[in-house]
Amino acid sequence: MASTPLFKEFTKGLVSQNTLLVLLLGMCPALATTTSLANAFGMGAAVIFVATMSNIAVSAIRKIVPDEVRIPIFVLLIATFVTVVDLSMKAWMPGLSKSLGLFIPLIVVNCIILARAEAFAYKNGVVRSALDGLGSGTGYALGLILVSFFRELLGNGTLFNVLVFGKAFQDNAVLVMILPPGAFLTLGLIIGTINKIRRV
Amino acid sequence: MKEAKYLIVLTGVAVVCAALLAYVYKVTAGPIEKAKNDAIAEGIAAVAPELDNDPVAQMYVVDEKDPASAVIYPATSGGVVVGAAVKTISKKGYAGNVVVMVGLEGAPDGQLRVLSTMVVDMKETPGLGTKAKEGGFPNQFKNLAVPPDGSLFKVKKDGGSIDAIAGATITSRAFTECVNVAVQTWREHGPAALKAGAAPAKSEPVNSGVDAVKGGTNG
Repeated sequence: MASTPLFKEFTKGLVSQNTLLVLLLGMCPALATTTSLANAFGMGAAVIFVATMSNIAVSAIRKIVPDEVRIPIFVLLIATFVTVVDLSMKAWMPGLSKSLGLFIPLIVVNCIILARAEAFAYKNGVVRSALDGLGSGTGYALGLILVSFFRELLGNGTLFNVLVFGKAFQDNAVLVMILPPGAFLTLGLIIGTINKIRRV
Repeated sequence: MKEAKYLIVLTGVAVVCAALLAYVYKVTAGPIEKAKNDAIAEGIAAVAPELDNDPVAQMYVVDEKDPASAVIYPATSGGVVVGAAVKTISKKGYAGNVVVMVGLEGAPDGQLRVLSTMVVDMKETPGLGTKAKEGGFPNQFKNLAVPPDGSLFKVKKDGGSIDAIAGATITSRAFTECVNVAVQTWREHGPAALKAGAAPAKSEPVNSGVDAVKGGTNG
């Protein structure tokens, strides 16, 4: 592990091990928060922050944490950072906080965060762990943004709430894209495309 | 003494986390409060008739024990009652509660008119139920005279005159219920609200009704 170049710790999370589109982790919030680009950016930013901070914290104290109690400690740290994000969003971005609702607190049980803490940060140094958290968080955010781009564009005719194809398109938009089935369809097609490209 | 180490490390991490959270809570408490009150004040300003009083200071919670209670924000102009903004909560939404601020024109015992409405909070399906926020559906409630015989607004499916949102009848019903409740609340509790508002010392703390907005979270 130590021989991997530092930047690789960051970039692996973006493409080859993209948490959402390749590892297929964190699917539930991905279905729920990709109805608009704004939501996807908000959710993505929250995940990046929590993944990075929890990785840093876990790797910083990894030498004094006994194996037997590491999981409660990870969960405690993650929950703390998630609450920080949740409160800050409520205070300074009330609109976004309202539309993301429950999914910000639910980052606590997001498997990506705990998986990176357990599988990577607990065994690696602070800098590497920070980059790893930043990378997997960013990869997840990019996945969300990609999915929400298609969903908002086709389902509501807008991007960032700005009309793209005009009013007539919005009135006849493909409603199913905004609904949960649209999330499955979009995600499935994107993942299929990625698999196809990877195999070539 | 491995157990002692568990205890010390766990306690240590917990204390640090708690301290961090306490600090963040303290920093954000003010802005969160303000954001909530801003949203309410904005809603009142958007729907209520022209007024020169402070409706938030004169708010009247109909049933303080009920977190989903309607809240009256009386509007007066030059001491004369011109109407009110009434915040009502319907539990019949498709996903959780639908909270609507309804602007009414007229005294509680006189001829009433629904001026305008604004969705304060809802978790309805984006693209379907959320159409209640703007466009054709809520526009039906602009400048809408309240039937003097006390009959309620209903969507067409229920034999009324309101066009429901296509694909979101449940949301439309919840929204319509909010408007009906607002009218009834103003008729029944308007006089009490005005009385309470006249003696501001007795008025409720600004926040007692605001938290109700969060009541219906169901993921």
